[in-house]
Amino acid sequence: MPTFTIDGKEIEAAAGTSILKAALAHGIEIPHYCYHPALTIAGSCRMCLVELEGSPKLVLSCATEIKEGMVVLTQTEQVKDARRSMLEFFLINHPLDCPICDKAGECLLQDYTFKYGSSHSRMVEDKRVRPTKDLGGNILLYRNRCVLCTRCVRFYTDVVGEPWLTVENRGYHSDISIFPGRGLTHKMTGNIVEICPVGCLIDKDFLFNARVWNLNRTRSICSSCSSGCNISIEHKENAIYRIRARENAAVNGPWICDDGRYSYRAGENQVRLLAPRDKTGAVLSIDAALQQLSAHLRRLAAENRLAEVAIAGSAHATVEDNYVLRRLLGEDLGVKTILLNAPAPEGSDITYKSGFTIRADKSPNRRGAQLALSSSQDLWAELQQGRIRTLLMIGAPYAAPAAAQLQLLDGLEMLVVWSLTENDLARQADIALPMAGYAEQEGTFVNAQGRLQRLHAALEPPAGIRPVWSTLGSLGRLLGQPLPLNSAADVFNDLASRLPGFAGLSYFRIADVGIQLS
Amino acid sequence: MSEHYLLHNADKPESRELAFYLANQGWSAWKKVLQQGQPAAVIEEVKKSGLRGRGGAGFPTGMKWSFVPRDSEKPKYLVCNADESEPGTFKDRYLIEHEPHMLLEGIAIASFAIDARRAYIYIRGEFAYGAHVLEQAIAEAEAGHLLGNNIQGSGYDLQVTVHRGAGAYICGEETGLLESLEGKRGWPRLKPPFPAVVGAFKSPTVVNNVETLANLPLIFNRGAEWFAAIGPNPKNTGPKLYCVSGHVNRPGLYEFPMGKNLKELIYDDCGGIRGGKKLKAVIPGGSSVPVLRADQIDVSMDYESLAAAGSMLGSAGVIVMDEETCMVNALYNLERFYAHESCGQCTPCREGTTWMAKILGRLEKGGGRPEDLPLLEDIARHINFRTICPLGDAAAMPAASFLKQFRDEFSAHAQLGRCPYRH
Repeated sequence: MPTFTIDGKEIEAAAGTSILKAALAHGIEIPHYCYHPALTIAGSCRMCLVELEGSPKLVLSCATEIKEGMVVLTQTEQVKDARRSMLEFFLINHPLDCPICDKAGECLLQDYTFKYGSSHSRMVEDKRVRPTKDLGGNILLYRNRCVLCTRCVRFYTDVVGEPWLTVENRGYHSDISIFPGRGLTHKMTGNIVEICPVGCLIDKDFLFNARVWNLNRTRSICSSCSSGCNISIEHKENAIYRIRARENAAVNGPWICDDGRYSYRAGENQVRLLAPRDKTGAVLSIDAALQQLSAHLRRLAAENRLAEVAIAGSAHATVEDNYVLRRLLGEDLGVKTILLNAPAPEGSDITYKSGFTIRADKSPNRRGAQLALSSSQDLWAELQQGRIRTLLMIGAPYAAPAAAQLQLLDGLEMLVVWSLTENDLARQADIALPMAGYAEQEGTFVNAQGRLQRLHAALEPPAGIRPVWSTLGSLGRLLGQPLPLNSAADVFNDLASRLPGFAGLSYFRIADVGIQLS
Repeated sequence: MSEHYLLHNADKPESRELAFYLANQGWSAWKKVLQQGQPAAVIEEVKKSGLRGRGGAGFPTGMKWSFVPRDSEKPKYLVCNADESEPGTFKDRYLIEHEPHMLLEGIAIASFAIDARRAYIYIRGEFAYGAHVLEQAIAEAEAGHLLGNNIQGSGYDLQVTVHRGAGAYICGEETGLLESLEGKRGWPRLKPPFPAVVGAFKSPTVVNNVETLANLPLIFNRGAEWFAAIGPNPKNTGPKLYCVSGHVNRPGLYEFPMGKNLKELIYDDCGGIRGGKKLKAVIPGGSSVPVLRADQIDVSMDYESLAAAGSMLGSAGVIVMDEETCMVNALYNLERFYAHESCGQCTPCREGTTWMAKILGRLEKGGGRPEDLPLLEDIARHINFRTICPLGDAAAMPAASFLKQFRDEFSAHAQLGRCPYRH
């Protein structure tokens, strides 16, 4: 591996690495706009120019490969002058609208101007003024703010593999544009807002909603499909304002799809199930509901009728929820029929040029649920056999099962459903129990590739609402089977000691990028 | 009056026809090269001739060819840059319209030297007539087995294709040209890799100017020594076309050996300044090169002498300005051109050229300020050498040189708040 010197520091990097990449990897900042590690090199912003000993001109650090013995300087007067001048060029036509720009606070033009630029303008001419354009879908193009880095254009050609954006007109009038007759409705579109280094591409979903520095960020895993993309949930005052991609080279790279990005709005037109309820719609206290359920189970056990009972975990619920369901009712109580409630995959996987995949399996934790339940027997197929008289199941978060499936539940002696929302399934239940949403709890998912990843609670659940495993803990005490499990970590560590698929793992040692299960 | 080798048929409209060209030893150099069948020897001969690229940069032609990797498995391409758009330059257009076979013969020799089986002539969109002339000449040459498949029974094939541009100056920059040739937006590429290694369609490519290629038949008909003996020194050889425009009595296209004295060209050959006025300024090599004052023009028009005088030979487009020319207005005109033609890809050129043009417009039309002078110099300095392609430099160099050479005029505009030449 070649060794070169940058600002007096010796750095070793793989042959073929650019100066910029090597510098960034070693904590040396070289400002840049058009460079993005996942895109082809454009070399057009000219912000990353550095001095190279022996070169008469400044060189582009993004496009110059390191060579043995190279001497690079990033802090000379010439380099500083180039940065200052480039920022001046960017700013002469840039509006001073940071106070109303959604990018403010995470804008590279702000950051670099603060660090490397000048605080006054020498431009007395009229600025270039261009109206904001609606690109269709969720995207607004604030043309006055564009620095023409073409990251968005290259995103479509390099990552998606379909050219949706282009540059039109020439020179001073160059402009990002969509092809005629099209709207920017592509499923990967939200990513261009994230990679836009300035406030040119703005998401209508986030428009004027919050100042980014007021948002809290919680690391989590997307629940929209079984890819398990890493996300950052951005929230304040117990509400989600946006979801952004969190880079994980082993899973999603730096991207997420729009299904995941806007998934936090999925419950918008739905009513949350806020308290336990019986079939008449009467609200029960959690104690009353669990006592009713425990009495029913105790009676069945006493009458030796546990063979009529089935429990169904969910491919949408965490490993922990599924595990405690099986541990308490299966192992400790002795229910033998352990099933999985998982929707059938929709269509086929969509894989883009970069390898990023949107999975047809829309449940985020099918594999995790299968491992935790030690079963993958399908709930709906089993119901058709007509042997089940009592069913305890975890519902999917929003969509209720189809009418034909609901019919299968008609003749049950008792149906108990954990449900996020008030849907047809919850209404049919003899006891409907509320549960925490995926953004409201700790826990783990296992994605389609078998990678175990952690969720973190971004929001407080509504008063009294707990994860399924916690409600089951209360039920356990009523059944005389107390479980010493007080947190998701306890649950995980317990299952790790008992399930071979998770052997040797510990909750707090699950790395940010997850762990590939063998 | 010296001998003409490029302009000798200027008065003969039939010069563009194959029969006329053949009757005057046309295509004989190509037949000779083909018979000898040694590409490496062709490159050596051109190196010996001292021929340098006539497009503006003056890079030694033989050396450029030798950068093409011979062992590459990819096809190799020869591209003739006929996108002549530099203000003040009109030499290639003449050769295309009057000596198409001389150009095609040169293209054939160059293609053979680099083992290209396909050559493109990328011609400026506005040169509709020139494109038509070339198409006809190619058809004639193919019918005469001088181009096409198995040329003269040699087993060597060469297809020549005329590709018309769409009117952008930037497509005269060789990598912008290649992008455009490939059907893309004419955005210059980052270099390296250079076209000799990764050029058209990701394959090794040589891009040569029209006048460069038109000189090749001469070299192979008369020998590299003969060619090298023309001109002031071994670094500046061969005949050269000079385009003279502006305030002279006889503007037009002239042929002299390399190293023609600029003052003689203006005063003797072009009949001096029109109306008996005094000379103020000369841009010697097309609009992109630094301007010279009247007292700097006693200079040999070769690469090194003009560089020593603070300018460049460029395309030898000599733009002459008399004493009544407002230099602020002249620069304003130039900078509007570069602002209009900037491709917009990289920041300094996209933003800087228009900014300069706006400031110059204000200086010229009223509202200029003394601080505009250092500001213009700063902008030019901030563009120069920091762009992807030389268009940025081409916009910056005139600005810097006009401000340096004619500072009084710029100051007067700033002081008066208007143009002193406007009454």
